[in-house]
Amino acid sequence: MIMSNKNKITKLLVANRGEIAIRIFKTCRQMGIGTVAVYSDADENALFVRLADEAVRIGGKQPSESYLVADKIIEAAKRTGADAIHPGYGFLSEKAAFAKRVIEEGIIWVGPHPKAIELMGSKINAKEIMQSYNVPTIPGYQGDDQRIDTIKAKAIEIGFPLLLKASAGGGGKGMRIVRKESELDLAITSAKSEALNGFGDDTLLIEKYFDNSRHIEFQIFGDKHGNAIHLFERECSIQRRYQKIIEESPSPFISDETRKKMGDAAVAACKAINYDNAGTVEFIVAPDQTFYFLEVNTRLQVEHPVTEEVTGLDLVRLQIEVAAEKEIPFLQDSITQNGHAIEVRIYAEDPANNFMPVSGKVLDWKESDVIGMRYDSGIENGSEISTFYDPMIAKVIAKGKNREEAITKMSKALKETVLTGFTTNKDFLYGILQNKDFQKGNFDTHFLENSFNYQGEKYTQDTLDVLTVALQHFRFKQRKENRTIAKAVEAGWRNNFYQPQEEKYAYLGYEFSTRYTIKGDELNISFADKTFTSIDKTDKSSDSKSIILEINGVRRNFHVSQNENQYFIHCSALGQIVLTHIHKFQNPTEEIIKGGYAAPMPGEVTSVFVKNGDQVKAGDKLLVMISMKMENTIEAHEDGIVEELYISEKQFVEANTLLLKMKE
Amino acid sequence: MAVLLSKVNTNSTAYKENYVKMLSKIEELQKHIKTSQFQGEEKHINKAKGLGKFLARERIELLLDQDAPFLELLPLAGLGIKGGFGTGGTMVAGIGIVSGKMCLITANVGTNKGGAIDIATLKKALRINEIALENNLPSINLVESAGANLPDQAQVFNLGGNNFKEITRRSKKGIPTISIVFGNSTAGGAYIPGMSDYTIFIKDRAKVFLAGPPLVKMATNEIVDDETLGGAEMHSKISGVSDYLAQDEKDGIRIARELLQNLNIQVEVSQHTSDATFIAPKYPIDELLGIISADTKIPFDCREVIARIVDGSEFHEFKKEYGSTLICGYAKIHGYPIAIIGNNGVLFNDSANKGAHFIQLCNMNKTPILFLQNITGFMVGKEYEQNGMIKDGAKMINAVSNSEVPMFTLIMGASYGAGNYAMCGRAYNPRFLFTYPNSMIAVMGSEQLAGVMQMVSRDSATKSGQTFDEEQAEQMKEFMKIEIEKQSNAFFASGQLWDDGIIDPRDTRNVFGLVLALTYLNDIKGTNAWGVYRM
Repeated sequence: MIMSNKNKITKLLVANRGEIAIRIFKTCRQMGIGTVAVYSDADENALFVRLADEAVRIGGKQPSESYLVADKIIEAAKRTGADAIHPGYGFLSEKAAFAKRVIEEGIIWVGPHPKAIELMGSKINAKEIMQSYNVPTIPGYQGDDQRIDTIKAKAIEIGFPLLLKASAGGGGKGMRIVRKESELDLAITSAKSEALNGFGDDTLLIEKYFDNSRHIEFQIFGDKHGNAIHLFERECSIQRRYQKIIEESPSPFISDETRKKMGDAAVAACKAINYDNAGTVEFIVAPDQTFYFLEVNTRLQVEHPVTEEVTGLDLVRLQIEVAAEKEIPFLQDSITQNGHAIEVRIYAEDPANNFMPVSGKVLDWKESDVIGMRYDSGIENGSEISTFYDPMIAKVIAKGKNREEAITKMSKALKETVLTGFTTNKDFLYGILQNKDFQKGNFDTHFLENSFNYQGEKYTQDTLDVLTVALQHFRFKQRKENRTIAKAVEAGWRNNFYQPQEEKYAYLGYEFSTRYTIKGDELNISFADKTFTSIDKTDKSSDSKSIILEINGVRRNFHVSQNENQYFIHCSALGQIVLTHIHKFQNPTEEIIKGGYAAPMPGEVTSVFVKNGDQVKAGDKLLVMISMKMENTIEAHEDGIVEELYISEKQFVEANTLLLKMKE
Repeated sequence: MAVLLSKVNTNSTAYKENYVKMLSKIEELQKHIKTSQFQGEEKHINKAKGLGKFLARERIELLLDQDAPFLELLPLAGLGIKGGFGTGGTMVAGIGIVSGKMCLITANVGTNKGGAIDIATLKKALRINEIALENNLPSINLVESAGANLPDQAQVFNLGGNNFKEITRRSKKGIPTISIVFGNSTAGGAYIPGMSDYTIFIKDRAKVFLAGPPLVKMATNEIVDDETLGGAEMHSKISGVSDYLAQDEKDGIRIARELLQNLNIQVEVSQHTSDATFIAPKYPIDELLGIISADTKIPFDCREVIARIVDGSEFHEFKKEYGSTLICGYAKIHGYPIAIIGNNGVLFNDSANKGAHFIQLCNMNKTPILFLQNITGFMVGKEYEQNGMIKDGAKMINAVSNSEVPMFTLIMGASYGAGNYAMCGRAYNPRFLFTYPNSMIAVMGSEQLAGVMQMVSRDSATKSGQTFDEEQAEQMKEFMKIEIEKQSNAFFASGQLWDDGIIDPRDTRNVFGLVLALTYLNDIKGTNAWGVYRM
């Protein structure tokens, strides 16, 4: 193919997956640019693959076999004739070597030049550069001398509390807060080993730690003509385990003066490295509005939509344009923050169980139609949430006139959003939005661990009752519609006295029975000494998962998704619960293998501590599995001798795979 | 189709009186049904519960699909029969849906007299066998019976043999019988599972042998325990009498449900089973209570009943202007085509001829017939005899006797004399026969019968020259009238198994809807072969 113009982008490959791939394709469609997806074996049926004009299978399930393999991505670009590559976030987005390779292959890199990535990739380098441009940085140590004694001495010099971080790290890995000297030794060794395991580099840095600080970042943009601007801040202090989950713009905390100072510092940082694409300068802001440079992310951020919503700009378009050597088409002064935008990240995880990632299939996904909502997601009904990738499944963005309105809209929209099939943090996010301190803008990065007490979904008994009635009526209706014989005879009819039909359910492990009698479209349902009248008011146009019921005189819409005997009952006005239907008959259970240990969830076996014939005691570690970035240690629950190991290290196993067996 | 217009005034005194009287009849029915649900003395029930057993009716409820309808058959069999085990006998029977298939279910009430079979229970079982055969219904027997009630053996022995014969004759026709054995099934009873297509034995509970340990000891001096002799495990692992070994009662029922699901029967559901097209009647069915005369001597318009039981109250009436005491026409119930023949008075020559004609037509176009009986008989008297009332009545009886389309009978009031025959009474083998609780069934009305008897005695006294005591005769007549009345009412009839059950008129659509649904599972066949019509 002959390129008429080497700076013209006509077909763009996204070296990424999920929502961000879809987000980028969307802008491409607006600009008339062709799209290419690459996909791993695990993503074969993913939505983003279908939404691309062309898609290239790059094999493998693990990122290390697919999205992280530069050769495969370059090859895919060549085969499809893509003239540009957008890396999204994560994966190869901040790998300078990859950016370099892309450019060498004559493909346009939609991102900053490799040198900038490299400079900012090392936190120690980044800090030094910022210091030289008078950008305030956090007091700390980032020397090459990595001897334990040196690190200890420097730590004591900086003072407590302090933070130990992997120089090459991110996402909280290898990070330790140390509050007193006695904790130091252990913290250093464990941080080093985690850094080595996680990033192949055990270089640590020390930073002064601020207890009540906020995480506020500035969106920056540079072009290849020396222009640099910022697009204001994003407040990202609501984090759990160093992972942002709610972001907003503007920040409810910083003053205009601070905003101005921080913006100037961000632009200075941008200029310091001749930055020429989208980037983010992260700061820590102390309660007295002093701020310190944290790091520069040399990519498009997950939370970029809040900036787009308040500035009215399309950041991906801007990225593509500057990558094609165009100038940024506006000046700093012309950019303003209009209204308020909030983003929440919906994760497949269980907030009630230490945010343990969960996997599963999306049964139903229905966005709210509250005006002014934006959903950036990569899922659809039937999507598999695999254990191989980040469990973030959707970003929901609310735009309001002001912060209060944005929160109100988001709250309503979250209630209305149907996402069923597995546990998510949706109710948890809703809980945060209802928190008075959050609403007042009163929070820091430790808000969730220190000030927010979440005890699972808290529904009133009335809500639980209504949702239970809805499920009972729904199941009844489903059966009625599926009956193939004597369909017109009244359900449950008897000529020898009508007996209420009975069904059994469990809610959060608590079992109960419902009894109901039927009169046409009207069901009389009772449980726990309460009786409800439920009348079906569903119109013909409703889909098979929706039911409109008038329960004790109040009409509401319900949505029910089913996964085997698990039912997700959603009502926009009330919320969503999961009920398990308990079958009348239990299928004969398969005999449990005596002394067998099975994988609790799918994942990779990372360490095996025992071998055949080993004597173990109850509580001994047998092996470690990593699943969705979480370590899971399998321990012996009784004394015994290992009869046979069925797996080995590095092996990927599905849930319930027999791992090993003890002698009987 | 033409919609029937009701002329009923629900505010009239007659309507209100009927309504109240009919309600009290329904209460009487409910009282008897309550009695029929006796499942044994408390100590037996407690013992069974203590062993983790379910009662017969609970087993049926477990077996049925969730929300499935269930039509209990012959619930009052045995009512008023002296020396028997009471109303309903020791067996519950009915039609219900199991794993989406229409089935005939019977359950021995093991907690009542050990589930022993008295004469009423046996007759009930035989009628159930007939229903299974005629309607191609798979049978599920929930077995727990001590066998024949020995004091009744003389009555039960010969007739009882049919029970086993019928299972295998159905099997030959491809109608399966499934037996779940919950407890004892001894001697003859052992052949219930023995003859069945499929058997499911409950572990530690089923005991099936030709002779129990005491009899074995008597006969051969062999000492053996009952588990070794006929336990579920033995029969599943050694003898092969059991096909499935269930862990407990629930498991046994689960296996039966799974089996039904896998049986390749009733898979092609009838083209008529589309309730999308079915419309409810225009008038409330509840009004039947005020329309149907509680006193069988007072006539009522059969069309008012039809208007409340057929879809959309739509009735295509045949020969409306001719033979107007017999209503003939086509309609639908729950979407199923049905022909209706109903009485609107005594049968005359023309109405009998019209009936014969219409029955032939239904056989030509293969439409099942529902007879709505309210008949005191064929018209009598010189004019009618001379006009050949017997000839015309014979034509209608000929047609009913030889008709091959499925026929059903609902007795709504009077059912007397040859009218009962011409309108497909019990002897004419309707597939199902149900009655309303106000019905009277006899050779003639008690008044007439007693009167005739009185006249005959007077004549005979006069002939032999004896004096006739009118006063005593009047007393005698009154006494006789009361006795005959007792033997004519619906409850007596139901106890004698002259019907398949008395129903609440308000259940009419559900009863016949269910019956039609199972009828239409099979091809409907008619005939054009008849006996000689006396012209």
